[in-house]
Amino acid sequence: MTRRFDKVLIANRGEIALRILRACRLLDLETVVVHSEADRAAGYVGLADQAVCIGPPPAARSYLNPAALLLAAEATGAQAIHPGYGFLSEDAAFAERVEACGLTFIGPSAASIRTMGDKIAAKRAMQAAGVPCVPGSEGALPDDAAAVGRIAATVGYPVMIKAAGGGGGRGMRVVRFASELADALAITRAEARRAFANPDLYLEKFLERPRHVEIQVLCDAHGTELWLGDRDCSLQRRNQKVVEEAPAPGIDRDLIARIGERCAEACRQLGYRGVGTFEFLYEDGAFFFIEMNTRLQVEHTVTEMTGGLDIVQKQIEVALGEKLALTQADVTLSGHAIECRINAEDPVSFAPSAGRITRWDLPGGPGVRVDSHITCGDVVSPHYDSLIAKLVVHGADRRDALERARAALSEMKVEGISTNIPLHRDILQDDAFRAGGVTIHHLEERLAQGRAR
Amino acid sequence: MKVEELRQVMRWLEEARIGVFEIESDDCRVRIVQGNPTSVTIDDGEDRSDGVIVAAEAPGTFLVQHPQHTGPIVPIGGLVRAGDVVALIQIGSIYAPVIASTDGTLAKILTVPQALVGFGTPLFEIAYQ
Repeated sequence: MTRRFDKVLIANRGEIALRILRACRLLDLETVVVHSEADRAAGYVGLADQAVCIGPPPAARSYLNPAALLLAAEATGAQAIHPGYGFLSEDAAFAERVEACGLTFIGPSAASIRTMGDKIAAKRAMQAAGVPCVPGSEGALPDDAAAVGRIAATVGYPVMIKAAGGGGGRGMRVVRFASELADALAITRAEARRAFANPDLYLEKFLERPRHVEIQVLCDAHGTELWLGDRDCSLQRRNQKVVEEAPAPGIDRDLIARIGERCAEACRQLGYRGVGTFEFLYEDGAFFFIEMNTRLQVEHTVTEMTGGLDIVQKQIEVALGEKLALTQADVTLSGHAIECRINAEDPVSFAPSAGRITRWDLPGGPGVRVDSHITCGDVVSPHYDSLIAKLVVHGADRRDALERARAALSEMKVEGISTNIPLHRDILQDDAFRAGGVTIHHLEERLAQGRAR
Repeated sequence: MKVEELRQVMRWLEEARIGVFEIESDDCRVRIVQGNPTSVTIDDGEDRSDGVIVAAEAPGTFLVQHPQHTGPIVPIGGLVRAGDVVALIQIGSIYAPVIASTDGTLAKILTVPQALVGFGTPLFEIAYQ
């Protein structure tokens, strides 16, 4: 049987490029790695069947350049493009161009990406599927500030004004009192027009002490929509996740199963295909949808560790048009997994740390996994994201996973650049984190206390 | 900057574990990239070389002759003028021209014809006349 594609172009870099390359190898697919001039010497580039330089170091002229990626696919005969995460992974126009060239975009349809990229459309789709959402405005806000004031009063202060085209913590503003509403609306609308080319705003109840809990889904094109598990990603700094774990501690498993089923139902109604993540805020025993990520996520690893599935491999199989040989009953969870994002940055100031790595000792032992593209002697480039490794541990239960994470971090030694390993060691000593269930503000509050001392 | 000063800067960079260093003044630019070996690029506006390198601007297959012609577009040692097409990059059914950036003679081919090249791959050396 001929497959839809047998050569995949990996349109990304770093650890995720290597992760995708590994999944392709397991499926006997040829790989093309594209890279910028800055990544020419990277180890994973040499592992690919073919490697092509597509541009100079700035991402806008390499990894974010659709024309360069499509030319590279044409020149190498790749028939599919895997976008990874970040860069062009949630760019509906790029997905469309890939398909228009007769290639397979390894991800959902451009229409799905577009719907989920518009937060108002996404929320409407979720409400239709019975996914619980944060109470707020019905659709886009009117221009009239007095009318918005009435909506805000009904929802109840504090409220959050959000840009329909925003996401990932950008384009949002908290309003605590009615007197602040008009100014907040004007500023957010101006920002939205500038940053997202979409002036539409919506309004939601602002939750004071929520946790970030998300549901991983996997869907094929033959009517199978599965939810693979939940993750707690509440430990964040400036909306960037630092530590993730699966499952989310201390939440009723029946409640999570009901939410997971609603997510699978939403995928069914949307005709969603591929992997995706439904992000929720969780507060006082209730879930509230915030956004859907229509791509593979950095923290897919903790779900792999607890569910035993290779999510990237499944994602590619679905893109090949294969039918998932799984039912929801086959999806079981075992033990507990924790991921620490190891970044090349100062552990106190968080300034990015570029330079040459002179020591790179990785931990090992049962239940320890390190996803990284780095080898000793590599130079960390200042041009890209500072993520250099993901340390993932799996234990029989949460306590076991915490101990394995602590032991693994004590083994990990990196020299030549600064990393946030000391921050992770601190987090693992933190009583509130060890108890489980901290809010999305916990890490920043803890860091602020540390600075005050 | 004197060579001895440059050596001192390199020692400091090594000690401070700084991977990439670039300093620019009105008339000079120095770039040091730590590695094995460490590379030092100095650009003071003066051209001391005997020619220029023509590099690929897009990924594709490097061709020195048009598929419907016999013989190369420009033979080794042949004269070229700035703007002349000296080779082709084939990307599927597209043949993108490789353009000479200066007048001179085609001194050397730096990549095997028919090879897959990427952005920045050196293709030719054009020697000044």
